[in-house]
Amino acid sequence: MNHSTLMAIAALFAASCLVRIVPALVRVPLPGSLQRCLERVLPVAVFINFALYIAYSEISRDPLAASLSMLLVAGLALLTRCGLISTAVIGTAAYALLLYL
Amino acid sequence: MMQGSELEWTQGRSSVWRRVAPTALAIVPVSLLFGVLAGRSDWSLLEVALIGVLGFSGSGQFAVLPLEQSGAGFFTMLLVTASINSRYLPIAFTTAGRLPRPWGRKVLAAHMLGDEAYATERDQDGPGTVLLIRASIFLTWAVAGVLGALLGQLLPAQWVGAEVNLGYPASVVLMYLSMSQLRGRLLQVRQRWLPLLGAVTLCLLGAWGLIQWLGPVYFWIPSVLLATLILTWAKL
Repeated sequence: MNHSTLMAIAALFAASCLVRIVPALVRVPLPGSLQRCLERVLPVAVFINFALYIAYSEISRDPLAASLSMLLVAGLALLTRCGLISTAVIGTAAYALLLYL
Repeated sequence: MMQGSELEWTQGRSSVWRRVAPTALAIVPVSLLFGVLAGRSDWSLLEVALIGVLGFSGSGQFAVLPLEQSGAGFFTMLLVTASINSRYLPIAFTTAGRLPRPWGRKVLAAHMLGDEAYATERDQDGPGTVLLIRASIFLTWAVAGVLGALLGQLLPAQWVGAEVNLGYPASVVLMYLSMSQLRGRLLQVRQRWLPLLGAVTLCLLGAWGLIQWLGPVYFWIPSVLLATLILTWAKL
């Protein structure tokens, strides 16, 4: 095996230990209000940032097609009972169509 | 007699697979693409399998490819990948309570945390369900990467065009899952929708500003902290 490839694999594994494994193992006793914040507020904060990050990543690549398609997907997920697969098909088709036009 | 976690594991397995299958399928093209690119950079199948299993990070894996090619050192690659994946810090912290109790399984489940798994999981999911969701996505990612490396050896170079956005379906799935999670969580406080809508708008504006200022890698921690402060202030 190539030495530099092994280093890349080791770096990614070390990063996983730092950002995924250690935070999951370390439990700190917290006061009630902070515990409530972690369980209720923090996940909402993460998902808001997550949605924006996904949209930003795609919009910076194809501004018009990705903006309209992502808005469509967000709207379908928030306002309708449309399922995951149908929304994924509609969103991807809209993106492809807008790119083609 | 079956223990609670075993019962959950056995009875819910098919419904969990139905839940996780679309997400797992959506990441296949991205992982295939990584495998193709790694194969073209002279990575062996074993190396592609190892990075999928030990590294398991979409953006991180794509980032180390050029770094490895340019001869970057271990700490450079660690800094870059840890920064890219820093979003997992709050996610890992908030989902730690869902993980299996035995130490080995807990470490394994924590390592298999990914964006797609986080968006698929629900608060009420037990450890067996969480492990199954994470393992399904994790194994799909690793196997698709190896298949991609195999494909890369077979496909003519000009067929792998950089202009095709193979990751878009995965982004659509992630957006849908994030919005569904937000809808579920915010509906619990729908009687106070107006101040909450204002708070969410403020969070989005703040996050957008921080992305512009710090970039999409380093905005995560300050932006999540800012959103937490705003939402706490809005009494979520």
